[in-house]
Amino acid sequence: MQVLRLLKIVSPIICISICLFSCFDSPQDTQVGWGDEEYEIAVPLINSRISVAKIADISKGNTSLLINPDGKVSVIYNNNNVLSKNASAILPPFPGLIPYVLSDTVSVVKLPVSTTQLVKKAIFKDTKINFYLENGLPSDVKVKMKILELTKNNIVFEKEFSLKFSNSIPVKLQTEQISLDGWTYRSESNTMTFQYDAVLSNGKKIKLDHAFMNFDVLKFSYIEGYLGFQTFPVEGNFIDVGLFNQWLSGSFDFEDPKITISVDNSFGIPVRSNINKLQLTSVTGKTVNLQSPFIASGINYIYPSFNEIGNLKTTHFEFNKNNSNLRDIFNEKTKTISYDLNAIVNPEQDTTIKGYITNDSYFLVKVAVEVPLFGSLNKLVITDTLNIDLGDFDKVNSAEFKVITSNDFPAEIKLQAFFIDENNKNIDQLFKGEGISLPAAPLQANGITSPGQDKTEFIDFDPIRFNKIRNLKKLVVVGYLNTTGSELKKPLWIYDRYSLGMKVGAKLKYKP
Amino acid sequence: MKSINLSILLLLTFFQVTSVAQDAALLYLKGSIPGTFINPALTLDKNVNISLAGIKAQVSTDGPSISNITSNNSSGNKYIDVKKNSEKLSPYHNISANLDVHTLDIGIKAGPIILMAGHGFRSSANVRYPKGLIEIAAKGNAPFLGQKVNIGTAVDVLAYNELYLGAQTNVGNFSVGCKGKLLYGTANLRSERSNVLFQTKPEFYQLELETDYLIRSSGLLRYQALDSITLNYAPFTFDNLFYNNRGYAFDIGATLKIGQKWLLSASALDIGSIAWDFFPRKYSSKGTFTFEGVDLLDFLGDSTSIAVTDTLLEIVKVQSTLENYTTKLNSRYTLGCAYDMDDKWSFFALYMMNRNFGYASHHLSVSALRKFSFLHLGLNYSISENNYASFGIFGKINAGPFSAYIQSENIAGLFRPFGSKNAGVRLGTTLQF
Repeated sequence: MQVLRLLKIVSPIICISICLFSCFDSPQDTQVGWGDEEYEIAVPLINSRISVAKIADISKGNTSLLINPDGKVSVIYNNNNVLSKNASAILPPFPGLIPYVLSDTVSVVKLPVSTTQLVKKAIFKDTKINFYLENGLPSDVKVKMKILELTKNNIVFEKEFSLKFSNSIPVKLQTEQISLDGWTYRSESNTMTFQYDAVLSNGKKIKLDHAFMNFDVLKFSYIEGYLGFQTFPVEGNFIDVGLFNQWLSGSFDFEDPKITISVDNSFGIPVRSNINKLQLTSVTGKTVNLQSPFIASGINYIYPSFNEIGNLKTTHFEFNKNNSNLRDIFNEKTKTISYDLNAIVNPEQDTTIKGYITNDSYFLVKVAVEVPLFGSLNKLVITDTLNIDLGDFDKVNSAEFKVITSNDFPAEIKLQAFFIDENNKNIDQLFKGEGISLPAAPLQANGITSPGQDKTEFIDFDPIRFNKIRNLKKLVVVGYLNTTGSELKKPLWIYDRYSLGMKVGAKLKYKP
Repeated sequence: MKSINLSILLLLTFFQVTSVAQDAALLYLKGSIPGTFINPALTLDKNVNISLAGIKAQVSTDGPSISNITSNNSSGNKYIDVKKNSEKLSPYHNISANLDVHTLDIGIKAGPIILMAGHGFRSSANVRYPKGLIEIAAKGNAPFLGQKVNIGTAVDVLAYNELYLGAQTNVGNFSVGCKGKLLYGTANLRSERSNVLFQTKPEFYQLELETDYLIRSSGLLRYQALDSITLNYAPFTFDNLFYNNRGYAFDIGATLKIGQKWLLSASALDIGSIAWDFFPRKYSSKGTFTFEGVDLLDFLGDSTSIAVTDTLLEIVKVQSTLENYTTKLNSRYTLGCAYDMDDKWSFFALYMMNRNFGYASHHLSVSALRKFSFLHLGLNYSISENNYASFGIFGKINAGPFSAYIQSENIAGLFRPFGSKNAGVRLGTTLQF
């Protein structure tokens, strides 16, 4: 009874407690979220000082900026590996496919090289030879084998072999592999002479019934002689000059654009480049041939002498306004440069010229376009279309952007951007009026500008404007550049210290 | 911003679903084991005294209640309401919570001494947040351009198992009691320094954080990045028992009987500390960190999309090391009196000072108890900082040697948890022979 009374009293208490505690877990009360009013958030978006030096640091790929010690800047469009050849291109390793027959005690074997080549001296590397010897007499035979053209430390190559008679004939021997590494070959006839003495156990000299020599692969660490006339064609390559890709109107005048050809060469033999064609194509599609006396004569590369084995010699040649019509045609807004050239080994085909190659030798031809940023831009208008996605701003009702800019360049810069729809119809523009206008930084007497002043602009996007552009996907950016004195084609250098400053912050009215 | 806002609300919400009961109600239970939780000298009535499954859960704030600073949006969800002006906020406010589980406690009379022993799982937490944090979460940062706003929030958590042995004895009308405690910490988070000044600069709204933060943790927090913080908290666990994070503490108390009706009580509870040695992590951040937007050059020629948020999160540098450390327990000091008017009515008063993670709070309560034949009912009123109207109830049922009790500190808190500054419940059972 006590228990029943207890339960009667406790039960309501427990029920009430459960009810009370259960109300704490009401989802309605514990769900959290945002209010219905706007939150105003201020965030910095961009803080960039786009200096020429910084761009030079981060430039990668085939386009780079070259900064001279005095800070003057050139744009380089590279094609670094136009043609690269190593020693195997001149004298490729020759695999030993067929055994050479040593038909007599003195046998002359031809080296497997081209008939246009004369190998006067060569040092073997990674080459192994072996012999097969056979005799029909029932006797032991001792064989002493020499290769007369091979010496090491003034000692002629010589090996002894022993054929053991074991109650069966013929008596045979397949020798082990013999390394020729470090042995020097000397000849004036591309041949090797094998000479052997075969002596029976009774002391009688004989001629073996069969004798063969075989090698695995013929390779050299050094070759000297006349290595033949060879041509390596390079054609169909081009360099994409991006400088004028976004050109819309206006003119350029770069003072001294250059096309440079440089060759690294460690072959000790003459190599020449013949230029069959060098063409510049403008952004309008017009193609013009580069004209220069060197197009016809070709360019000879310097090469290391016998005293400079292992050295790399670099030949640097440039087509410029002094030896070609490059300046005139380049300033016609060149977009690509295509070329067709050959690299010719022993171009004079003079067999008396003795040269050399080592297994590390190579030559590397590089072609580049170098545009020193010294010139003028006259009312140049460039444009580019950017893909944009304002999806991140879907809950932003309105925004006020604060833009702080500065310009150290000796050029007036105007910037405007247009939001366009899928039909390329202009829906709105980013900046008021003609856009942000940054006056040219003032030029000092030394031709360098003093630092530009900060300029602050506010860009308002009220809810109506924001709704107009919210779903647009393209932004056309238009830039206008006009260097100081450009109407007189006054050339100005661009220095690495010049920069464009841009700081952008935004106040966003956000309604979650 | 969103995460800050939601985090605050989630914290507030979490703490409000537990409830607050001051320990004043324990005077109702003098003579039984739960009474010794507030003063180990409160004499046990019987030879054998057992307490089973005693649970105390409480939460309180010295700041505004949730209803005072939030509204419901059109979807019915709560948000920090900018219109509920924050001028009423003090520079700092605390939200604190406790959950104590006394699994088994025994007191046995042995001659003139009563020996006591027991086990409990004790946990407490405190969030100390500045006014600036609420204001920025409510309005966004744009209204505070050029101002340094304090958003440094200290979060402290302490959880441990305690095993104790104690004794009490009477000398005339005077009684003394003490408990020695062996502690094993299960989780700790200690904000030793929590200074963060946030500024949005007017030039182009650069964000600047001046931090001087030092957090220590064992068994609770793992920090990888600002947006990757792992909390691994178990409300009841025997982790590390007898192995790691050992500590010692004691309770001490005295009572004085004046005549047959009056009893004076004084105690100092949970005086001690825990040495944390189980993966004791130390996270610190000191310096000025500024986010000034992204540098377009960093993205030039890179297919990576520009991500402002990622860059923002990367600016704050946090050092992480392992280093043993010691924390003090949240100690309590009480002064109380009881007046047993007759067999039916008793009256109590209790003053308590809590040192909760270094922050002191004061509470005063008065209560009355009416004893029916097998049912005891009590009513109490308590005041504490920023909270002057808290009425609680108490009920106890006696069935021979068995009794069960439940007590709530703030009735309104049970019915309107979001509109209250404290709420709590204590319940349990006792056996006495």
